[in-house]
Amino acid sequence: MRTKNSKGQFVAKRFDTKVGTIEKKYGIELGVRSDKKLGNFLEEKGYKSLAQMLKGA
Amino acid sequence: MPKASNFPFITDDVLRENLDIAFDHLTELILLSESPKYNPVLKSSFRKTTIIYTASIIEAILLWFLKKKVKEVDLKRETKRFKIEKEIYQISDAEKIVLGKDVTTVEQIKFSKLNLADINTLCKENGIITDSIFKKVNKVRELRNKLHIGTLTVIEKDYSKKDLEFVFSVAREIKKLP
Repeated sequence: MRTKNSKGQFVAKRFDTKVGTIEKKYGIELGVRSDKKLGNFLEEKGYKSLAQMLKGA
Repeated sequence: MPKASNFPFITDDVLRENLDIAFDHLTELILLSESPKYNPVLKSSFRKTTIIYTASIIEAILLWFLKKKVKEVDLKRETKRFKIEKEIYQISDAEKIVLGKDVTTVEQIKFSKLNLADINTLCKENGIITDSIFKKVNKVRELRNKLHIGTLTVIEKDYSKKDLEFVFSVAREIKKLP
């Protein structure tokens, strides 16, 4: 879920966003621990470039 | 500037915010495409939308670099055409001999009117991207253009992870340009 900074602006999803947050938002099941980090999940699923972008690498 | 932005090098607040919104959206589309809740055709459709969003991110970043390097007033497009002055001899229905001249017109263009193909070409011409990146962006553009379903000759249901990883890898290269 998108968050806001101190100025009330939306800030981008960070690498440490949890899979569970997305599962809850969309009512889906991704078959991994809900506290798994989004970037790690994407990397394991084969989305290496996207995961690296989330990590800022 | 929000620290968590995925595009911290973009100093235009509006553009950076819009890029982050698009990036957030595409990561969520990917997760939807991984859920067993959806059938393979729907998953492929999520992937297609992801490609369209990623292409729009690539387009916006390239335009940002172009604006940094080139002034709008210097954006010109040359068009050459052959103007027939006089028909001299009709050889057949398909051929005729004519008298004419080449006319070159120079048209002023605006940043807001550029499409991805124009931006890609201008970035290459101005040394912002290499020929290799130019070709990759063109491939992304072709994938993106499949959003025009009226022109498609095959059924669209086979967007793969490989297609996505390709467009993400191009986006990543573009992000690293500075």
